Amino acid sequence: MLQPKKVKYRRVQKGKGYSSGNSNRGHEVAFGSYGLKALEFAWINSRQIEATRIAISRAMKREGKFWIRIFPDKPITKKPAEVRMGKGKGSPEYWAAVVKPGRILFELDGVPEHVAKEALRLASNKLPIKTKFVVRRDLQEH
Amino acid sequence: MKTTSIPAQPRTDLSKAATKQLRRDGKVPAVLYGGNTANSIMLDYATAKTILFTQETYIVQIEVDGKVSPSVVREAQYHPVTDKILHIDFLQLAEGQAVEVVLPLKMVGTPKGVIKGGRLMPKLRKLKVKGIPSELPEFIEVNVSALELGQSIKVGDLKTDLNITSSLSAAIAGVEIPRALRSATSTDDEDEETEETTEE
Repeated sequence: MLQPKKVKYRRVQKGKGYSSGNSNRGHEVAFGSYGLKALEFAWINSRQIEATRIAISRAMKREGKFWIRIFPDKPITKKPAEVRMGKGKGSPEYWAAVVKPGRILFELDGVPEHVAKEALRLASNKLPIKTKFVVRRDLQEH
Repeated sequence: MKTTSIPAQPRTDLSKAATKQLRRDGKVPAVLYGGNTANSIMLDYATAKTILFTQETYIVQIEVDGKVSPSVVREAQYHPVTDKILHIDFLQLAEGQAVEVVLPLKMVGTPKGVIKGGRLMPKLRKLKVKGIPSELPEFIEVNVSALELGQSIKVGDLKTDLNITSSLSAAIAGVEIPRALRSATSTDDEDEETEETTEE
């Protein structure tokens, strides 16, 4: 599963969350021909990314190439069960990527469009947010 | 480079509300600049799509109030979620002035590696080139026929007179060895090794 090798601070604050607007970087298909775009805000954890990666690689039947465009670099902490409030912040439990609407999550190339569409449909089932299938702008028919 | 002409209308009300309204009316706000002037214009969404949602790069003849100005697209802004065109910057061309444009790459020939079972993977689709737009070609041809399995062609390997401003060390395309072929060759090698040992 993806996680940082080394971090400056073990715990970070929660952040603005849903009110932080749309993604202003990483919202265009940059490497492949097809992509999966997030339509909602979410913290996507490393397990969900791994499950999606496995779903895509199985659906592509080891053909083509794919890119993961998000990285879980935010440590999420949790207090143990039955512990009273206070006495400091909990210990890091898992890692998450902060995803804003518009962010390209995964990209594919080297497979026909129907295979890419199916692979990304299966991938989107592993994610906690609504997504949409997007095609590179210069490949779109107008 | 290919040339296309599009009609446009001047924009007088530059307020945020007016710009949002014209987007709702199916128009795209744009600016045409070059030299010391900048003119705010608007064009139809469908027209804007024909010059942006394509692999080609065009010299755009913008017709505003009967006056035609040759230009190139300098920048386009898109909505991050809906991918709708929000705004376009056109750079007006002056005669004999070199500008930086992106030209599409066209792969020519069948690589030797592909005949042996490899797969051609393009890594770059466009290159930045500086020159006088009317003298630039429609696309840059890349001859990939000499590529063997596992080899790649870089921007610096291109034989062209164009002034390329993209990084010369960037790979344009490579022939990748599919996993099936890689495992087949490794098993063949093992077989050969075992045959050799039995002959001995």
